[in-house]
Amino acid sequence: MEAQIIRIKIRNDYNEYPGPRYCNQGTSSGEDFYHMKLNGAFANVFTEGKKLEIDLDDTAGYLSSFLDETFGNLVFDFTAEVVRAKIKIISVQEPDWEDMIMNDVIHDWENRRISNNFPKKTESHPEWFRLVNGQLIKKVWIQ
Amino acid sequence: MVSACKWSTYKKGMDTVIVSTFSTADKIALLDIVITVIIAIWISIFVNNNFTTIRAVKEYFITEDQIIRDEYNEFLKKIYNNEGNPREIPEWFKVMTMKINVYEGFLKKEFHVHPKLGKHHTKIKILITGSDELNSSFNAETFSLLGTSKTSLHKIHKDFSNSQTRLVVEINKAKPKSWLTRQFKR
Repeated sequence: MEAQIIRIKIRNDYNEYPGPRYCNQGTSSGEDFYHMKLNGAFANVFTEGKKLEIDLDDTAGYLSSFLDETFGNLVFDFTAEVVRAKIKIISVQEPDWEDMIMNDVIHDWENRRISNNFPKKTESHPEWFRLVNGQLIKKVWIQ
Repeated sequence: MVSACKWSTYKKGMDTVIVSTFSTADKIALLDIVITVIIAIWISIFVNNNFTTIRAVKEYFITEDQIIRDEYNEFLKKIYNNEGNPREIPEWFKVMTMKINVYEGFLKKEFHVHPKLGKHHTKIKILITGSDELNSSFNAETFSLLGTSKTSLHKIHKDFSNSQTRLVVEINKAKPKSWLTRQFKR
């Protein structure tokens, strides 16, 4: 039986005008989207054995940095293997984003995770989930 | 040759009717002429029309290539001159991505060509939209790429322009895909 799919459509569930990489660079940043939406949604699908479909279409376009920061943080907190198994990217209008995320971003941030090159946080965020030895732990991991 | 046929005349009322009697060889020769004429007409109408259609389709694709080149040059001129508006960049790239994807999709479907515009376009998009310069100036009116970023952009821009020129040559040389090929590709 196929795993149940939970869907996030960035235009409807977050913002039609995604912004830059970091919170301190502008509104609706990749850093903000990760902490406001993606981390919690991914932790839920992980716990419940579901899959997460993220629909990038119908926004006013993306900076590659927004996507890099968003999905890079996801890999950093949950590992490349788990992210690859649990997410599906929908990007009919700009299919090259799907290729970039599934190949370059996941690969680069997995290396970054292994080498403990921590992501930069430009704003304090409430506690968020990280997968440690198969267990989800929620706390403020980076100040 | 139709030289061996016999001619005879007879009266029918007030009229004199001339009748020719054809041998089998004459009939074959006549059939040969008729078929030759039909083929000549078919070539002059159908093949010529087909050639004209293919030429027109090729001209359309070449013009589209030129339009993409012009739009791209205008956009990159703004970037090189530090006049690009950061908030307009993602949408411009999105529209251009869709335009190039549709263009390349139709081109691949109709002709045996392998355009690389999309590949170079993605590299330019990632370079500009991933730059610290653009991200840190996202709320500003304009942004300026650093020298190193501009050098990288020049290189990919050159590759993009080369692939556009190569594509015009490829389109001109390309053979259209047959109806059968298109059915199997569906």
